[in-house]
Formats: sequence, structure tokens, C-alpha cells
Amino acid sequence: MVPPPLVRGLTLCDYAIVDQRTGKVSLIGTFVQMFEDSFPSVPRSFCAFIALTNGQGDATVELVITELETDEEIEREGASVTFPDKLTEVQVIFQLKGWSVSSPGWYSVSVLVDGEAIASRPLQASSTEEGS
Amino acid sequence: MSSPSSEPNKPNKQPAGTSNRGSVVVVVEGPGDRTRRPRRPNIPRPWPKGESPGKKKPTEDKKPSEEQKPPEEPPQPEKS
Repeated sequence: MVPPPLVRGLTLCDYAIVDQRTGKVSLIGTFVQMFEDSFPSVPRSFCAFIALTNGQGDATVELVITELETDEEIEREGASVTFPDKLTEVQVIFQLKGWSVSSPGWYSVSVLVDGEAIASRPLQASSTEEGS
Repeated sequence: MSSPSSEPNKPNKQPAGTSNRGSVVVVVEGPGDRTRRPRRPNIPRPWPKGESPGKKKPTEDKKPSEEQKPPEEPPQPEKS
């Protein structure tokens, strides 16, 4: 898609609730860090909320999680979305289930539209013994 | 004294207040990309419509070619 959509938001949270009546999305428990007792960690479920705009037509939106130290891609989810027009905001909620962190360190959560990275945010996984 | 909230809600009336209806919300359940695959693959069912494969009677041992044949119509007499 040329030009790529604009990212208005990229948020990680425990749950995302979509109200059927109003269409409102409630993000519960936003976070930027993960603390684990051991690695690989126990499988966890969380959500990534992405708000996009300025798109037109069909596009593939992907969420990619990469371990920054090894540059290894450890998760990739995709969705086909349609932008009705450039003003409409498309909100994509990726529900990651049973995701296990292999080792402590920094991870990158990236958003790709039609294969092009348009946003990313860091996610730190730490041991509970290191945290205070 | 009348307030808008006391009026009965019409079926198509947008209620007062904030809304997110103007946006498109897409929920993707992981793991894996399920959105690109058809949810119901277009595979012809090998059993007759209305029957489940688990409830197939053992006595019904028809050949597949016989099952797919349409019922033969009796020959119609020619009109004079």
C-alpha cells in the first residue's frame, strides 16, 4: 500500500474488550515489561492493539515479535484488513495465546503493513530476581 | 420537563454519547494466521446431505458412483 498507513497506536495489554453495542475497545492492563520466574517462561496470553489510519483498500497487517539480541523472529501473526477510506481508523487486536519468552532481554514488537515495517516498540523480559 | 434520555429509543437511533462505530475493529486470534485461510474449505462432502459421517449405517454400503447418480425418470409416453 502506497503510502503506508499511519500508526496512531501500538499498545500491549493483558486483555482487550470490544463492546458490541458501541464498538468501543477497552484495553485492560497495559504493560511495557514482563517479569518471569524462569526461562523459558510459562506460556502467557496478551493482546497487541494497533490503530491505523490513512490507508486505502486492502492490506495485510502483521505483528512480528523479534528477540533483539539474536535478531530471531519468534512470533508472527497476520490479518487481512480493508481500509474503507483514508479517514477511517482501522483497529487491529492481535490476541497472542500461549506465548512463552525463551530468555530474558529486549524484544521488539513491530507492525508491518504489506511487508513494510511501519512501527515498533520495545518489550523487556526480565527475571523476577532482577526486578525490584 | 423532558429529557432526551426519557424518550423511547428508536431502533435505528444512535444513542447519545461517545462511540467507536466509525472505526473498523479487527480481532485476530492467535497463534497462527487464521484470517487468510477460508474458514469453511470448499470441499465436497463425501456423505449425503443431512447425514453426519459418524452416523453412517453399516448397511449402507453403496458405491460412490451409485450415490451420485440422479434418480432415473420413467420414460414418458409419446403424445400423439
